This record gives sequence, C-alpha cells and structure tokens, in this order.
Amino acid sequence: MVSKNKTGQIVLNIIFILLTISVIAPFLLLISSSLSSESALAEFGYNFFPKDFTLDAYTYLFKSSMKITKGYGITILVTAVGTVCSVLMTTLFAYPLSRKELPCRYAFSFFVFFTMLFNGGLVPTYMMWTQTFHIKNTLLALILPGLLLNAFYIIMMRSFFTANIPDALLEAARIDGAGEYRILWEVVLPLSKPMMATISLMVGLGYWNDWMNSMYYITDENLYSIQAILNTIITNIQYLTSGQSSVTSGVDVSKLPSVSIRMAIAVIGVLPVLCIYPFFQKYFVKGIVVGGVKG
Amino acid sequence: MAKTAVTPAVRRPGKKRARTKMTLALFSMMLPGFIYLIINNYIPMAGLAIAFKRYDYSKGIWGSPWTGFSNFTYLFKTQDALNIIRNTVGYNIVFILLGNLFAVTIAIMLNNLRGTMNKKVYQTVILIPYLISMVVVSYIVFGFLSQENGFLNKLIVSMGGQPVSWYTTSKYWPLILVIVNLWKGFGYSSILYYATVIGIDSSLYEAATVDGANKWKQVWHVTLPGLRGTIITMVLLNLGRMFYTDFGLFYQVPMRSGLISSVTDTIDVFVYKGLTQLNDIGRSSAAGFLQSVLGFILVLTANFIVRKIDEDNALF
Amino acid sequence: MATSLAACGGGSNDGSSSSSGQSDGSAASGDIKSVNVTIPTVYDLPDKDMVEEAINKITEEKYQLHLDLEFISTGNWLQQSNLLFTGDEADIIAAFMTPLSTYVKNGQMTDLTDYYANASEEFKAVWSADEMKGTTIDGKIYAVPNLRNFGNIIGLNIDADIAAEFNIENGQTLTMEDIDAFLRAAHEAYPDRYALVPQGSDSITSTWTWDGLGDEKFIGVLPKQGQVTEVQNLFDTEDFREFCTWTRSWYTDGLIMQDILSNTQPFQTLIGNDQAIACFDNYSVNNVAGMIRTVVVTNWAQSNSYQALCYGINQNSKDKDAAWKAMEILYTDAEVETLLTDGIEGTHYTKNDDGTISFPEGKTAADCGYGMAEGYWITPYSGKTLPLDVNGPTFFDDLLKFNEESLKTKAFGFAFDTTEVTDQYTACCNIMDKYYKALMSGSVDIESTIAQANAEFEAAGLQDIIKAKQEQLNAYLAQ
Repeated sequence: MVSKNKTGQIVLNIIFILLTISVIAPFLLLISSSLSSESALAEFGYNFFPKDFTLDAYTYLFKSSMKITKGYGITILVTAVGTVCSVLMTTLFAYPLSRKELPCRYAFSFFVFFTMLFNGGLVPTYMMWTQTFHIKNTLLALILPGLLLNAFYIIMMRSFFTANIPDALLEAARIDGAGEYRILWEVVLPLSKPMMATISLMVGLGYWNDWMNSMYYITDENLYSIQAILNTIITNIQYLTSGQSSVTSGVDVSKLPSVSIRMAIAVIGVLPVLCIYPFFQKYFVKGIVVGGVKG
Repeated sequence: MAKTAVTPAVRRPGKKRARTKMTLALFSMMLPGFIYLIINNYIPMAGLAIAFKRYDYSKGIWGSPWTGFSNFTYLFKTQDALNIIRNTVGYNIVFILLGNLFAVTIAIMLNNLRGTMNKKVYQTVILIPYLISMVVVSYIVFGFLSQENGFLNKLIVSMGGQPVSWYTTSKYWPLILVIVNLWKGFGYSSILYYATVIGIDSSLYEAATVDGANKWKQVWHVTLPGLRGTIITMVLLNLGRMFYTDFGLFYQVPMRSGLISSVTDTIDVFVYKGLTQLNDIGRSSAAGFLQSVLGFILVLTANFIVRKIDEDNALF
Repeated sequence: MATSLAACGGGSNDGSSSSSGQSDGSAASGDIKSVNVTIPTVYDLPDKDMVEEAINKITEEKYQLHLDLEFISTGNWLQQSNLLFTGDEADIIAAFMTPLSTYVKNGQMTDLTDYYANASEEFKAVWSADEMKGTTIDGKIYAVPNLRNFGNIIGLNIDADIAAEFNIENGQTLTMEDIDAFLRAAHEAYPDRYALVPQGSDSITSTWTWDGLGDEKFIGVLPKQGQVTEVQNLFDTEDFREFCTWTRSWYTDGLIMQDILSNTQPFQTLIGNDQAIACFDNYSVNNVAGMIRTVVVTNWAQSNSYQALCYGINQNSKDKDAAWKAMEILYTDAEVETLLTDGIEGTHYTKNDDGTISFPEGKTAADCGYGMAEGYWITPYSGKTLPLDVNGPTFFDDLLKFNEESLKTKAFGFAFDTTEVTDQYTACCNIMDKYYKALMSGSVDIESTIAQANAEFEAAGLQDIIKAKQEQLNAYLAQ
C-alpha cells in the first residue's frame, strides 16, 4: 500500500516536472534572449544560453524611459488599492447571490451575467468615465473602468459559496443572533480562504497586467502603469521597424535592440509577480488546514 | 454581547421582521456592486446603438443617423464567412473541452501531491505563461518554428529530415494554436479549480477512506462531484464567449502570415483586417453585437438545459 | 435646493460680468486663450513641460495664446487619438495612420477652406494654394500638410563595403536586370549572408510603382507611377507581375531569407551586423549609415502623399478660431517651430559651426529628454528649424527641392471614398492580406496564386470597387 502510494507520488512529480519544464524552458529562452546581442539573435536565433552576452536591452529600456521605476510604483499602488476594493465588492455581491433567501436571486444573477456578454464598447464607456466622472489623467482611471468588478469572479465566488458553505452552518449562526454582515465575516469568509486567495490573485493579476486603462484614460505618461510603459516601448519599436509606407523617418533604428528588448520587457513584467506569488500560496495551504479542522 | 441577544421571546412577528432585516442587509451588501455595474456596464450599453448608426464624431452617438442593419452586411458578403465562423466555433469548442479537462486534471493532481515545497514551486511556475503577453509568446513560438533557426527544424534536420516551412503550411496550425492556447491558459484555470478542490470538505475523503476507496475512487466519488458545479459554471461562461476569440493568439502568433489564414482567420481577425483602413466604429460594434447575441442565445439554451437537470448549478 | 440653485445662477452671472470687466482692465492676461496641440511621437519626451513653458513664453506675449502640448506615442496613436475626437480635449491634432478621407467621412475634422482663404501671407508662402490640394477632400481643405518628403525614390540599399567591391556608387541608377546580376554575384561571394532582406520587418518593400489612390491596401491601383488613369486590379498589372517574377526567382534560388514572412528583424540590424547584403528602401534626401542608396524607381509622389501625416482641427474643438491662429503660429513662427522640433538649446541640442545641430555629448534622441529633432517629419512644420548633423546643413532646402522635383501621380490629391462599396472593400482587404506580401516576397508560385487570388477577388466584388474608384477618379480629373 505504502509503496504503491510512493510510486503514485513519483509519477505525479514526474508529470509536474515535465509541465514545469514546458513552462520554464520558454521562459529561460526569454531571459537568455534578452541578454543576447541583436546580431547573435539574428544569426543564431534564440538560444538557452546567451551568445554574445550584453545588457543592451535593459540599458536601453531604463535609458529610454525614466519612468520605469515610477511605473512600478503606480502599478503597485493601483494593484493594491484596486484588489482590496474589488475583492470586497465581489464578495459582498456574491454572498447574497448564493443565498436562497434573496428575492429575485436569478434575476440578479442574470443582471451580473449579462455584463459578461454585452458591453457598450470603448467609445460609450470612455465618454461615460471621462465626461460624467472626469477621471481622465487621474489614478482613478487605472482603478475604476472595467477592472473593479468582474462578473466572472462574482459568479465563481457565488458557486463556491453555494457548494462549500453548508446551509446548516448559516442557520446555526443566525439562531445565535448574528446579523448577515457578521455571518459573512465570521462564518463564511474563514471557510472561503482558498477562493478568496484565488480571486485576489486573479484580480491582482488583472490590475498588474493592465495597460488598456492607461492607454485609454491617461495621456500624461507620468501616470502610466508599468505594463503601459513597456507596451508603449514595444509598439513604438514595432512602428519604427515596420518600414511604414511612404512616410520615411529619419530615425536611426540600427541601434535599437528590437527583439531582445521585447524579451527584456517580458522579463521585467513577469519577475515581480513571481516574487509576490509565493506569499499568496500561504492562503492556499491555510485553506486546507481550516477545512481539516472543520472536518 | 451577542450571546445575551440569543433566544428572543417573541417568535412569529420577530421572524418576519428578522427576515425583512436580513433581506435589507443582503441588498445593502449588493448595493456598491450594483451601482458600479450600472455605471460601468449598463449605461454604456446604450452605445450599442452605434451598431445601427453611421457614427459621426461631430454629432455624437445620438445625433448620428440610423442606418438599419447596413453595418452588419459586410460580415456575410465575404466568401470566407462560413470558413471564419467554422474556425471561430471550432477552435472554441476544442479550447473549452481540452482547456477544462486539462485544468481539472492538474488541479486534482496538485491536490494529491504530497510535500509543500514542490507543490509551491509547481503552482508558481505554471502561472508564468499567463503572465506573458501574446506578442512575446509569438516570439517564443517563432523561436521554435523559424524556418532557418527554429528548434523544431534544427531537430528535424539533425534527424535527417527536410526543414518545414511552418509559417506557410496551414495544416500544422490548428495543432499549434491549440497547444499555445493550452500552454498559456492551463496554469490560470487550474488554479481556479484547485481552489474549489481544496475547499471540499475533508470529512468526505475520510469517509471514503473508511469505506475502503482508493485514490482513484476518491477522485471519482468525492473530488469530481465536488467540482461539478464549478465545471458547469465555467463551461457555461465559456459558451457565452463562443463567438469571440483571443485576437493576439490568432493574429500575432501566426505572425500575420496570410498563407495560413484559412485556418487562422476568426471573426475578430477578419473584422480587424477589414476595418483598419476604414476606422468604422459602427461596423466594428456591429460585429461585437452579433458575437454577443449569438453567444447569449447559446448560453440561454445551455442554461435552460442545465436548469432542467440540476437547478443548483444553473447560472441564473 | 431651489435657493442654492438660484444663488448659483446669480453667482455665475456675476462671475461672467466681473470677468469681462477684468479683461477690460488687464487685456494681456485676460485674453490669453488656450489651445491644445496633439502630436504623435516615437520617443518618450520627459522634458515636454520644459519645452512647453519656453514656447508659451513666446506665444503668450506675442500672440496671447497658450499652447497646451500633448504627445501621444505612435503605438497608442490610433486608439487614443480617436478617443480624443469624441470630445473637445484636442484642438489641433494630427491626421495620422488613418487616411484623411476617413477622418473627414467620420466627421472628425473641421473644414478649413475659409480659414486658409483668410490666412496670413506668411502662411500662404509656406503652403501655396496649389499644394493645399494635397489635403483637400471633395473641394474642401481639411488639414495642413507637415514638412517631410512627399515623394520617394525607391532603390536598393547595399552594404557600403560590398557596393564598393562591386563598383556600385551611391545614387547610381540600377535596372532590375542589374540588381539580379548583382544579387547573384554577391550571393556567390558571400554565401553566408542573405542577399536580399525585407524593408519592413516582413515585407519586401512598402511601395513600388503603383498608386493605391488613397488606399494603402492597393485594392484598385494606377500603375506606372500613376501616369495612366485607368484603375486596375494590382495583381493584373505588368508592374506587379514583373516585380514578383524577379523576387520569385531570387527566392527560389536562395537569395532572399526563407523566413521573410515571419521575420522580425529590421534591415538596419541585418545589414549593419553583416548578415545581409541589400534591401529595397524608399527615401528622399536622407542617408542611412553603412549603406549606399541606388535608384530603381525615380522620385514620385502617390495621390495621398500629403495626407499621410497632416494637421487639422478637431470638429468638436470649442474655439476653432483660436485653434487656427495657433496653427498659423506653428507654421510661421521660426522660434516656436524650433523649440517644438529641436527643444531647448544647450539642454537638448548643441549648435555646430555649419548650422546643424547635434544631440548633447553622449546622448541620443531616445534619451536626451526631448528627441523630437529626429522627428522633424512629425511636427507641424520644421522648415525653419535647424537640421540634425547627420542630415547636413542644407537638409530642409534639399527637402523642399526634392518635393518640387517629385513626379506627381495624375490622381494627385485624389482620395477614394469607400462608402458605396464598404462590404466589398472589407472582404478584399482580407484577401489582400492573404496574398500580397507572399507574392511580393516571392515565396509562392506567381501564376497559380494570382489565379486563386483573382477568383476570390472576383467573388468578393473587386470589380465593384474598381468601377467605383474609376468613376470617382474620372469625376475628380474632370474638375
């Protein structure tokens, strides 16, 4: 029995190691290409070990945009504030939806779901936020439009509550005289840690990866998020090297690290998340512990 | 403090009042989200009217002239319409089936894994692809498929084969796109399932062990039923996006190579290619509107069926 | 509630009367109007505020105008500029990346005909009424061109050392036969290098001898540098077939890089790093480091050459009169032009003895804080600014002369309006995307591919587009 279990574990580990390689290998390729010279890339293609090691791409990045550190700051601030608000609102919205006692429950669920399918498009949304709420060129523009509340997360959380919080538990709390807010806070949330962590992670990634809001609502590049800055650098280089039609530019692109810089940008965008992510995992583990205690 | 309030003396009228109080509390919880959705989603939806107008920037949304359905016709006048719809729906079906299968499997495997360190590492690492933008993914793919320097061709040549011109041969692309999509998305979606798996009441597993169920049986009788709701929800939500595709995946990953467009063109790509010169927001919102309506019908039908079978897991 | 509203109304009345009284008292400060100017940029411009301040020191005193500069990265241009048009945020704004006729059709640009008619002599000296035809749509002026090359010479750029070895000089005229012979010989001598690489990262050349009539997808063209007036299917023109026949033979003989359709490296990198020998390129009077230029197609201008980048006034602008006034300043005041294009002397550039300017020691356009000097082709008017050292002291005069000498297509100033045939047009755009680059690069068989493409074009209604184009063109030429 024990040995059988052991082989099972070995097989599982092997599968995961293979998966890990499938992910890590391309990522290493990214890192090594970002450290290679353009000529080496053009001549030999991508390699797992940098040929002709150079930091050109990174120097260019930090030289061409002095805002990268600032961009990190803005992104971290926006991600923190946005995630807290978003998870709070999502939980507050999802919990009632999971309750059978809520009048018009299905209608509300539909109200949420409908937003996943239909949207008014960029122009009307833009006009709403800029002309009614005047958030253009403010930090609110990075937090409010689109990202704050996502129907998908509401629905996922509602499903989790429905499936994993026994009615009996809520009933017992109610007989104890607890109000809905207290039940949510003291009974439901402790049992929902894995889901809370997951949703926080996803919302956080959403804010971290977002460059659209910067692009639409910010013209003052001092307020750009890190991803928006990186994206702008990429698209500018793309424009310069694409040999656009009849307008000839006097721009000298021979020194642009056009390929390696994209790799460097990906590395810069991903690394901080990889550093922060392990802190989230604590809650995944805790979730199990709580479940265990409960059982 | 709370303990003293227990066991109220009056029962019936109190119960009714308590019920109203509860309903009010629940409503008050939903209020912020409700207002937000109205502002961010519902009011701008009036802009869907653009799909039926010839948008004139100087006149705004409401001042622009109505044009009936003329913004929609371009989607059907092309010979490729059927092909494009086939691609869009076909890829989505495969993505939904394989994507969810893959994610559920990984979530269950992760749950059955012992040890914390390795678990943490795997969990972190599989999220990386999700964090890399499609433009960069397209470069990585190019690193593998480049005709002269790509890893695959180097491998083929070293084994004595002929190098393949990947970017001009359409037959390989359905497979390539499916692999890239799975690779990019599996970490993200498996984390969602994983959260549900570890939320499953562990007493259920203990009971199963007492009954003598082995790991396989536990998965079959405890884990999968526990995931049922999440799986159904995910699939239903995916169905709603059935007519949308990831533009980056279908446009950037094939490096905009025209020769393989018969298997890489989807509705979004077609609309983009057709409208870049025209900058016609009437026509682009018409396409979006149609994609939404079709997805909507699909979800309504699927949800109706789910509700007949398993009411708890219906979306609405 | 009611009282507060009333108070509010009263307050605003008082406010307006007092402000008008104030403007009587101190005319200078009260009358300064603010105009937003939105300009594309390829570089991050962290010192933008410093330049803006310097410009406003001049404009506020001299013209009672405050210019509010806004720079948008080219990569974000399409999205951001369109959003700006939904409101009154932008006053003067570039028409860029989207054809001017599309802006006009969408009601985004103000009709400037009357403004131009009443413009100052200085302004008319910059752009004559004749040249303004380049930005005229349906008989009305909608934008003002900026200064750059309107025509293009198209030729082969060759690695300088190899060109010397084969005795090819800068500016030499080559026929396609010459190029064929050269490429083959060079390939023989340097088998490790690609003989020919694409101009853009994945297209062999962006322009050749056909004029798309304001349509960059080339659906219905005038061949022969626009010297004929019969609109034809590009794939049926001799020019196109001839070009493809050459590239096809080069591709099959291994002279062109095999990855051409998915290449990501610009030619400057490939030739600069000795991995390639030559590429096609279009140019005017500017040079490219390490390579020589040759002439295959002589200097000619397409119908939409003035429109590819020009400046207009947002239809939703609140004060169009002030905006036009600012427009005239941008085109006529040498000091403002120089500040806008080159930045501040000593900080962003240093003057040389020959009248050119250089970026400060050790800096480039990308990191000097305000590298717009390399973007002289972007700013509204750079004719009175100082040329960069690499371009030479007489650069702007050369440029003006070059433009004067350009052979203009017969359809010059014409822009096709797709409205009647939009459905067919979107379908044809998709077909063009499928075959155009592949054919041009020589990576597919010509006859069979053209036959296949033409069958698809036929079904998609190409003839309707050509017919509409021809009708519109005839009407335009008749004027």
